[in-house]
Amino acid sequence: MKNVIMYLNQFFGQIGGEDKADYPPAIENKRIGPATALNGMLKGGEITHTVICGDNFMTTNQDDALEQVGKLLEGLEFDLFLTGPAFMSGRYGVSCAQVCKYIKNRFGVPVITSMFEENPGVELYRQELYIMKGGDNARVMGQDLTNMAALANKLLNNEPLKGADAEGYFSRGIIKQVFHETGAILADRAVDMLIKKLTGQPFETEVKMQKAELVPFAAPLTDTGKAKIALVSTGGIVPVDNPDKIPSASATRWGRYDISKMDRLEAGEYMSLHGGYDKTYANANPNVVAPLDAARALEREGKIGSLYPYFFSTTGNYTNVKESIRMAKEMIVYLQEDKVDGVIFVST
Amino acid sequence: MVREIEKTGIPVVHLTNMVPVAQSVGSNRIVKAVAIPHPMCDASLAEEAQYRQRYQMVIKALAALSTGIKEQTVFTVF
Repeated sequence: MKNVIMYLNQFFGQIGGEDKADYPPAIENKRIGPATALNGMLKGGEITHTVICGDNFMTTNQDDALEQVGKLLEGLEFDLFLTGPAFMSGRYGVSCAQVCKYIKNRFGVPVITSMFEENPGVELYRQELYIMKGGDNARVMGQDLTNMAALANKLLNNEPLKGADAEGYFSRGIIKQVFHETGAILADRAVDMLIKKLTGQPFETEVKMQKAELVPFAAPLTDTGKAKIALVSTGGIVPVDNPDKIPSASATRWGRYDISKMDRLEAGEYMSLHGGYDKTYANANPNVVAPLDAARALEREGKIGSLYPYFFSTTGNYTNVKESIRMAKEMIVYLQEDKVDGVIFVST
Repeated sequence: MVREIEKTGIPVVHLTNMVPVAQSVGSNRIVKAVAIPHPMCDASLAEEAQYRQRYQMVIKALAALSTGIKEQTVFTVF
């Protein structure tokens, strides 16, 4: 029976919620939370330990946090390391993936994690590890664990893998040369494909090309003291009555708030409604997320020509990519019409 | 969203603690923020010190907006 160790964040590790996002790495020699269910699906392997770490701790203190995890595992014998599933949670997904990478490099064991395709962890780490294609929220925990177990069992029992699509993980960009299953030679297949293409018939490419989107560099401002600068934030900072009904997650709406007569955002007038971080600090002083006070002072000192009179705000938590793009395009209409020269964009 | 605004030619400086995420989504000018729940300053400091940190970070943000870059660039403050 091979040994498996699982990593969870503070929430799935049953330590606490956002208030415990700073929980430093710890290890338990038992199964906690999803590790129990996943263990029941393994064949030839047993989850012996659960490592838990707060999402903020792991993402903010990456190197130190990983070192600490490494220390906790020293002396333990394990053949496979699993993390997550992280669904759409950005911090958790990034944490799961970076822990996997660290474990793989330091201990040389195979690693598996799982998350939704729009999780930032996918693009950052897909080329380095097995990231199973997961659902976008914990309702599909059972399915995501089942998929992780399927790959885990193949690795535990040394079964050959059939490639990303067949096994259900995000393609790692590895091109492997194999003989075609039909035995047809390349030249015949290529001509076949070309004939189909020329005659308008459907065909399937054998190698998918990934198009990287390059963002052109916008020219720098020559003198911010003459520029109109806008303040935008995805930290979920809104007036306390939330007039635009911006949600705590999965935002499809944003707000424009007149800050022209304000020197700072006042607690009690503005608050945070972002569901993805501990709001205590932002609620006590919204300027720790949207720094109106500092920006206003710099405008007075002539370091900012003028602060755009409207603060743009939404919640960057489980935000769908299509919706983000649409909201940005809506913001751009105002920014262009009002001739904004530069944007200070704060994310939590 | 940062990427969409930058595409129109308006320079954007992205202040965030999660720098690798900003890089992977295509933000070109990035300032590493202090923490996730309070990006602009260390909330364990006295009020006055927190304000000074926010002030320094916005100054750095303005410097980033004024810097010509040839690749994604991370600006650090503290």
